[in-house]
Amino acid sequence: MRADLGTLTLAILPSEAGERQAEERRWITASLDGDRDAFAELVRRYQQRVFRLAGRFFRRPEDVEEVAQETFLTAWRKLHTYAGKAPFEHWLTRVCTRCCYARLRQRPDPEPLQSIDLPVAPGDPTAGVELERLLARLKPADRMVLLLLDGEGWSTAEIAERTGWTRTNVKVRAHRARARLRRLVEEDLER
Amino acid sequence: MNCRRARKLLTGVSGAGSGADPELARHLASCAECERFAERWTEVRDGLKGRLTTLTPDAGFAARVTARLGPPADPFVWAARRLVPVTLALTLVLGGWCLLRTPAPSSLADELADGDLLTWVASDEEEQR
Repeated sequence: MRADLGTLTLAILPSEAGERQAEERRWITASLDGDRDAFAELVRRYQQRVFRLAGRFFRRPEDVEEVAQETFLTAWRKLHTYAGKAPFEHWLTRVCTRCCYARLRQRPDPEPLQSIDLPVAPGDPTAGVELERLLARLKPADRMVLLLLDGEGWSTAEIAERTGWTRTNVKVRAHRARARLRRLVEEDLER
Repeated sequence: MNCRRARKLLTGVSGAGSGADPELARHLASCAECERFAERWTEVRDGLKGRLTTLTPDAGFAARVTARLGPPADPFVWAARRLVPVTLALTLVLGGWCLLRTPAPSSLADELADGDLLTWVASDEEEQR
C-alpha cells in the first residue's frame, strides 16, 4: 500500500510541476502581448522570492519594496529578452540581483544605522551594529559579493551568471573583499 | 606559522577553520590576538549569514507594480537599438573604404601631362560632351 502511495505521489508531482510551468508560460506569453493581469500573476508567484533576495542587501523595508518593484518593472520592460531556456525564476533572480547592485551603487553609503532595525545577537547586543559599520566601509561591489557568497551561499559560478561578471572577476572581487573586511576587523580590534 | 598567515587562512574563500589545519590551531592556542581575531571573524561571518530583512509583501504589492507598468516593450524597437552599434560600425568601414578609394589630388596631377590640375578642373570638357 505504501509503495502504491509512493508511486502515486511520484506520478502526481511531475504533472503538477508541468502544469505550473505551462501556466507560467501562458502568463509570460500574455504579458508579452501587454496583458497586465497575467503579469500580475507572475508578480504574485515570485514576489516572495524577490523580497527575500532584496532583503539580503537592504535593511529598510521601503528600500526592499522599492527594489522589488524596480525588479518587476525591469522584468516587464525586458520580458522579450527571456529566451525560455532556463526557468523564469532564474532569469528574474538575475534581474533582481542587477537591480540590487544598481541601487547599491547609486547609494554607496548604506542607510543611517539609527534608522534601521538591527538584529540583536543573544551574546553581544552590539554585534549587529558592528557588522553594519563594517559593511558601510566596504565598496558596493565588495558588499554585494560577500553577501551573496556568505549570506545567500551562492557559488562563484552562480554569482557570475546572475551579475553578468566573469567567474574570474567574481573570484578576484571576493578575494579583495575578504581582504578588506579582514583589515577592517583588524583595525577595530587594534582600537 | 605567523599571524599574517594564520589570518589569511582564517579569512580565505575556502573558509578553512582552525579545526581544518592543525598548524593553525596550534598558532591560535599560542597567540591571544589571533584567537580574538578568529572569534571576531566568526561573529562577522555569522552576521553576514543571518543578515536578512524578512519582509512579506502585502496583498497590494502586485497592484502597486501593475499601476507603474508602462507600455510593453516593442521587440522591434529593442532589436533596432541593438543594431545601432552595428550600423555605426558598418558606416565607418564603408566611409573609410570610400575615402581610401578616392584618388588623391597628387595622383591626379601625375596623370596630367602638364601637371596643370587647376586647368583640368576648371575646364568644361566633360560638360561639352
